[in-house]
Amino acid sequence: MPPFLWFLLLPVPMPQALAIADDPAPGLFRTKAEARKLECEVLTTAEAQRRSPGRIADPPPRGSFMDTQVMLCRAPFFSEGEREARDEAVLAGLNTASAEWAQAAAAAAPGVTWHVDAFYPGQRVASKLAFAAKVALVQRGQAVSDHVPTLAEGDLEVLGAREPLDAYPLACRRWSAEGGLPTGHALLGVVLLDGRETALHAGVCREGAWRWVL
Amino acid sequence: MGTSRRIGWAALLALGAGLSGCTTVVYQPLKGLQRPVALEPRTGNFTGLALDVTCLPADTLERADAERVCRHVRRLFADQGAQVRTSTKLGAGAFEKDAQGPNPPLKLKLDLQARTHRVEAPGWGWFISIYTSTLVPAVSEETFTQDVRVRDESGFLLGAETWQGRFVEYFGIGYTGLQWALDHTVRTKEEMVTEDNAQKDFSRDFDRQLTQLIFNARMRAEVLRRNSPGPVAVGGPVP
Repeated sequence: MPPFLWFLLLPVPMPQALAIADDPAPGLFRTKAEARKLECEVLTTAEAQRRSPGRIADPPPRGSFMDTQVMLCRAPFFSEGEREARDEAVLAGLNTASAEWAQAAAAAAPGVTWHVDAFYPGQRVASKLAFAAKVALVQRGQAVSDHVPTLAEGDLEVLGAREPLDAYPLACRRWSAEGGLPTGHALLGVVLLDGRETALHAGVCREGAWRWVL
Repeated sequence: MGTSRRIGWAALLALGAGLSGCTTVVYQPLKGLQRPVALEPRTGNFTGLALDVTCLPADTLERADAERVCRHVRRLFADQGAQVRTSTKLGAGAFEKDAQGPNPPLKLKLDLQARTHRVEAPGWGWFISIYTSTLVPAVSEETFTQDVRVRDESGFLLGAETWQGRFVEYFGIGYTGLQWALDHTVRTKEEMVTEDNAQKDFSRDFDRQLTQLIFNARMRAEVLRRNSPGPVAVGGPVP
């Protein structure tokens, strides 16, 4: 074959090269660190279309010659290192976790008005947790109050000296005794007990009795 | 020897080198595997914990592979202080009943089930690869989904996760040679992709996520035991 004809065949590998360049996996065009920044998930076409309407083409009606999958990728809102690892892990699963807290709480104390508080180091994250729990309760049709029962400074000092698993039942008795939680009201507490865990616990305080529900 | 014959021999040699196994496997963590953790695998994390691990074979995962997964998980948690038993069977006969001493350790049950989906390089991809003497790679990939469930002794679900990951296989001397050159010149050790780095990266992610999940489950089990007479049976976390 005359040498100049070889140049006509140069574009032949282009589709392959473009596919490799477009692949979010680490390789020639992307480092491992860059690949890990993306949160990707392999889904069915129907689920991908539901999550990203208008962006995923329908499969051909007669099927395709090639076996295809849909991978949805998104860049997280916060870059790696901007938040603490534990905070990031807790907030990443907040949608699912808050639904679980609300489900367990509603089953433990149906028909009450809920007060919510989050016991987590870091006020910003604690606020997010409490808000998510309130929204989840409302979505389940529960009545929610914005008021958070508080304790006197002396009570807090005593409770701070106790083991966490003993402190919450005591706090619950004090809230009820002080009138912070009258009859027909309950408190959902979202609690971090150990700094090494990333799944929070949920407890319900009702009529002076504390019960762990998750 | 004429020029065209030399070119032909070079192409055959390159093809032979390519067909002899110049493959680069790259690992991409998908759902859940690159999530930050607050606890790293280390000695003493799970002292006083008994763990029964069931690794279930599936259509795409043979029993031998399930046993290999179980051996890895047993080593992971035994090194961290747990008493571990493994099985690849379901049902009451999977584990022998153990005698209860005066202070039995907290017991958790871990179920692992994986499914894989492999997509081979299309025919035209192989054609281009062979046509270019494997300078352009043929690309295959395998996506796996790992379901993990942790329960307490009574069967109450304490934790559930589904992780996804992907291994992309590039067959060809051109791609592998380029990656090897980059690994040995400009890349740091953490960024290397050739040899068995894909397997090491996946193992590290899997071990970290599994350790965190079991720790979370253990804390939940210990907290729920504090309720008297027993935990509220509301079905546990939604998987």
